[in-house]
Amino acid sequence: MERFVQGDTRAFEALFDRYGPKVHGFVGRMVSDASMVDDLVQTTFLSVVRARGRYERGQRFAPWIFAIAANATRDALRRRQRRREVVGDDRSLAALAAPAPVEPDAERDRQVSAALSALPEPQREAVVLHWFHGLSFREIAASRGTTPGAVKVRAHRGYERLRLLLGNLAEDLE
Amino acid sequence: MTPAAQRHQTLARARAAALAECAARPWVIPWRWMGLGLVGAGALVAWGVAAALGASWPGGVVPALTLALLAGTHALALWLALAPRRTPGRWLLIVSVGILAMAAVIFTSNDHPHLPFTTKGASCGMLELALSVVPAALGLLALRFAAPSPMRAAMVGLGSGAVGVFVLYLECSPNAAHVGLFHVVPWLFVVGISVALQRVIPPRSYAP
Repeated sequence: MERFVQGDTRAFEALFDRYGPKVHGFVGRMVSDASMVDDLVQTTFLSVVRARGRYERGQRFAPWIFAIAANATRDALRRRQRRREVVGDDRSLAALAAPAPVEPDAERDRQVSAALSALPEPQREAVVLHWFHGLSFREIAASRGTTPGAVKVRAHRGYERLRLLLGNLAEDLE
Repeated sequence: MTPAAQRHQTLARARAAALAECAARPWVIPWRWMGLGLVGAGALVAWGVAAALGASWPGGVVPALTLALLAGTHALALWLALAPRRTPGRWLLIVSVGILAMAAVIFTSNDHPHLPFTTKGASCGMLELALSVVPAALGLLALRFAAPSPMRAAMVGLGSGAVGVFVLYLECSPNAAHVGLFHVVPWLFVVGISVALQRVIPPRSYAP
């Protein structure tokens, strides 16, 4: 990232190759609408380019880019909620009952995605960043401007809810 | 379309858009330069207007400390509004300094205690708002490069409003009622309007 801040575009391409799929995975777990995922991945990388002057030397890049993706997702969800579109728990529960895909792993992924989308947004964000992307509570807290304790509580509540929703599938969580 | 193909398409589109943005804007302003520019612009406005009005520097330790608190609120609030790291402790610090500065300007204003507090009220309020326009506008523009945050916008309002209150403290501080109503209330209004304006200004980035 430091090379990119100094103007090396190839460094950005290397960052994109490494973090593009991860950002896509994060956003995909936060929202289920494919066109929204498309927009949010693009917004995240546009933000990286436009706000590279806000990147602090020596800072870990992963928490920074996930903070951007999380901020963009939160804002998009807020705007969508304002437009009163139908989203959230009802659709998530409906997705749990949807026909199973062909691949066996895909069925498990679908159940996890549906259970995740049933979580309140702050809990979902904490679980996804902590469990799926390996960020520490301290790193998540720094990106949200809150305390590690508050993030830990959100994640813990999220894990509890996932256990209830997923049953045996969730044994490995936390 | 399979999920893998869809993901590939999404990533290809994001990469193309990001590279086009890199080509369109090959240079970037570090946030510290933005912060310095913002604090400097506010100081320049305060100095220029105070000089134009012929304001005199008050003698004594208490007015000097009050002015130092106002200048500190201006610099600290604008700097922390732009700083990428956000912690509850930093917000608490600047809110405390801001409240202290507001209390100081109210309780150390006693040049003309018997003058009706409404004297020159409207002109003071208007001057406070007018002096806040430039720093607040620049601050909100700079904030477009960070994720929308009401707290950051409030900090921009707090720092920008301090410019007007600083000049007014040099020019007019008859009594606590006047200063509270026509200097500090417009300052709080600037904080509120900054928060409201940021909600309607589309962000250019969602960086911390």
